Amino acid sequence: MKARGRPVLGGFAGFFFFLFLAVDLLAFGVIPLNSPLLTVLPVLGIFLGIAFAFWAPFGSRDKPAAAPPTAF
Amino acid sequence: MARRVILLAVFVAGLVCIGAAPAGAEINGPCTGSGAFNRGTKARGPFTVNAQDLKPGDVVEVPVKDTVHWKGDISGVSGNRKIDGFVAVDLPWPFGEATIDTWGKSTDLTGNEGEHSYSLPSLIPRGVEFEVSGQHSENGVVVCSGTAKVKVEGSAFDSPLAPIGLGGTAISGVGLAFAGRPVFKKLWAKDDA
Repeated sequence: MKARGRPVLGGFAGFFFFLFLAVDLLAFGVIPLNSPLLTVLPVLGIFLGIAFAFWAPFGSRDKPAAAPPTAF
Repeated sequence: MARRVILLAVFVAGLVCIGAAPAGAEINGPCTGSGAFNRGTKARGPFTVNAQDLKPGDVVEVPVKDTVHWKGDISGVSGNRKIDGFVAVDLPWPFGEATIDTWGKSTDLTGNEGEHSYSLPSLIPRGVEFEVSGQHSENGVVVCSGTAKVKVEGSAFDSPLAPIGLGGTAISGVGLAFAGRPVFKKLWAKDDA
């Protein structure tokens, strides 16, 4: 399976996105300090970020290949 | 060291060490204890928490900084004996617990009291439940144990953790969105070389 997006960036961004999401949930009192979500979410984020990069839903998906520059 | 001697004070010590107070929940064994907050919270003002009055599920709200007059004792013991125990804060899996105080030596005391001033770090989240647990042993046998739930007064934005979390979520969200954009490769790359 070929990645359409950037899976390495997706893994890093997914980790931090879900890490900060867990921090938000903690800071706003949604989950207590001993909630396993605080450690599970960032790890889950790595896999979700990679999967998201493979899916690559943003931007035009059916864009035709760019034409080569015309010769003068 | 004397203040560590008796520990119903598991709760009081939890208070003392975490900067919080002996909070609610449950206590098992012949221990009693209390903590009186001099300034208290904005909502309640000065208040006193008695460990034995707390019910399971109770959460005690404590100020970010205060001075606490704590008191604790244990019944059914006497003479010089070996004691030990700990107070810890529950952390998320797989980290277990963070020990915030331990004690262990010989004593002939069965009660103690004192005053302790504390100031929690500004980063600590407000309104979030912390579970403090602890136990006290006499001659190697656990005689008192318990848990207490404590939360620090204030709203989410009283702590820098909330804006840090929101900013980090936004920035990493942009990175995630960028990772989700399809990558197009120039088909004529060889001709460019």
